[in-house]
Amino acid sequence: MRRYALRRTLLGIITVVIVSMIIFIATRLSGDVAILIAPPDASDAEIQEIRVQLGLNKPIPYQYYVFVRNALKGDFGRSIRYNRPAIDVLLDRFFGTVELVGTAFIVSIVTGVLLGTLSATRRGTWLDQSGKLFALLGQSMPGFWVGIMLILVFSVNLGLLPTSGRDGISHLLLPSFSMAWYSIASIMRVTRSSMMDVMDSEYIKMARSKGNPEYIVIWKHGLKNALIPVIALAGVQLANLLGGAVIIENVFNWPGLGSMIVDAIYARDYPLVQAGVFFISIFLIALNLIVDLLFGFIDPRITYE
Amino acid sequence: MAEKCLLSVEDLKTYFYTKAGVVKAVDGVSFNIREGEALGLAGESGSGKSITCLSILRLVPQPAGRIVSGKIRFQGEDLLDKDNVEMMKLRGKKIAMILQDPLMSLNPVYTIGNQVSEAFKLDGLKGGIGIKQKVVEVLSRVKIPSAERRLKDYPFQFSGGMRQRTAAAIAIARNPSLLIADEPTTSLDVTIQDQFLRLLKEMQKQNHMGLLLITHDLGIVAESCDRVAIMYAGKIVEIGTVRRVYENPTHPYTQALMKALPKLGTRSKKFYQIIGEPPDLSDLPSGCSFHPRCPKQLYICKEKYPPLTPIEGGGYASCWLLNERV
Repeated sequence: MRRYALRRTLLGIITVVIVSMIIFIATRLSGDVAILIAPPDASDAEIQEIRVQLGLNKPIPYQYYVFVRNALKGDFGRSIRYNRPAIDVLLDRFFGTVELVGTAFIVSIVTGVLLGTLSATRRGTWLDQSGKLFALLGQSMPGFWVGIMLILVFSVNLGLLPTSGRDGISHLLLPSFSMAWYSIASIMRVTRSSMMDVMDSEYIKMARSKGNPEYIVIWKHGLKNALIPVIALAGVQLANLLGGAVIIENVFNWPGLGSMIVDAIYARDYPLVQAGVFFISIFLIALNLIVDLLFGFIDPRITYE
Repeated sequence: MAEKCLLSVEDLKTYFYTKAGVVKAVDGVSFNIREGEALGLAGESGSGKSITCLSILRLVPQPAGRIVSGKIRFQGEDLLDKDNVEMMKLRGKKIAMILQDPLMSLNPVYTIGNQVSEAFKLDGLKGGIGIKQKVVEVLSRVKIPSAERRLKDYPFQFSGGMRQRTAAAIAIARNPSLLIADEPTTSLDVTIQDQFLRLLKEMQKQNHMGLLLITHDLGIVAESCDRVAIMYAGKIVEIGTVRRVYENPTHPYTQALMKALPKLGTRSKKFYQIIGEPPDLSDLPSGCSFHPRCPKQLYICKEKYPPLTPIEGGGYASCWLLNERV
């Protein structure tokens, strides 16, 4: 187990290095930053001066080396747009994303597993049918559109909830739900089918014949077995949510990493883009590792060799 | 009849309502078991043995399966009149069951200790040393070596035989009056089979339990039961003491089964075989279900199902050949 965790961490580091190279090269392919920063009437010499200042006149491998050397010290360069260290701008926004994605993720898992289990154990009832409809809707509508519609209904028409910004639970409700709906739907579907398989098995019959009340049969004996594919899916959904945050944060004007990265890309604020994508990729790799290690806790038959 | 009647099943019918039609898995089964008695229920796969067991515990797969009619009297009360909570309290406490597949009947994600102690917790015992002692005790009774050290093991760390013995431990943990064992040895090695059957008999004697042993192996019935019921296509075709049925089988199906048993000491190269296939339970033949395969069929066999007729030497069989008027 420890060896496995170590190996996966090493693999993760290699992934981070590759990701950093790709980001680094991609940001430099997107155009000349110096021209953008310089005032419109700047002379060629002035533009060249900015290049030298930012180190852009050096060959790309050297620039990368400088980037890595500084990144290891926690220095991701200065944001060109905000003229502050990129890492500071990023950390301001990071917790916004954590709050939004974290809420959406927890809501997806709890609701998805709950509805999926109820649906599987009450097959064919109104609860199962409406659960299926809810899942179908969630999987057919894009998150940003759901977001806009929710704003229309709950903010514009009913005036119940704010349209944008980050300030407590009332601001969190709409964006987190528009992100979570799709994930709830997929987690619910997988839980439902996995649970249905499990409930047909011999150990469930055994659990019943022992005299266990039905809630123990379902929630203790059934669910823990049914969770294995759900955990695998949850990892994927978390990645989706992080990706989706970029759009939803823009729809709801939520100060998070996603909207920050999009703005930074438009502004060619490449230190900030680099830092942001870098952070997200580390976050994702770490989460994947945690998900993989979780399997072992749920199913003792899984060993890490 | 020195002993009181423990379980009496009367004209039990359990049908499955599927898209392809009504499957009459159990179609008018009657038998009884006295306290401390072992009844073997034998028959081919798909003859309705397992569904009979599940019907007694009221665990027939829902929603397709339904107990259509009949009575299941257990210690004087009809189980079909009980509500779900009453049934739940009865399961494991009064009527316990050992399932067919020991590899699958323990939950793979909980420890042995956890699963065995569940039985005691249902009796209202709180966790702690008391329960642990009881778990170790019951596991030792089923001869799990050094049980105390294995409580934290998971089922996959146990051998097939040990898992089946653990399932047996769970079944006897609360001293039930009736134990239903559904082909408990089918997936075990022959040597382990024998050990397990001995253990089962031992437990039955100790606790004075009634035993309903489902099997398709007539050898096992002979070894461990007092009486035997032969099932065919959802009905009991013959019932009687093991000795009588084995020495003097009456129903042509029973006779064929006995003939098909390989015997020691004979040198015949070919096994006797019953011609044909067991019938489709959703489309049973008219009259006696066995008539298409019966070597002794009469005209009436196609027309009407034969009633259960008492046999000389005890027991019943349902065959027109026993009816003098035919």
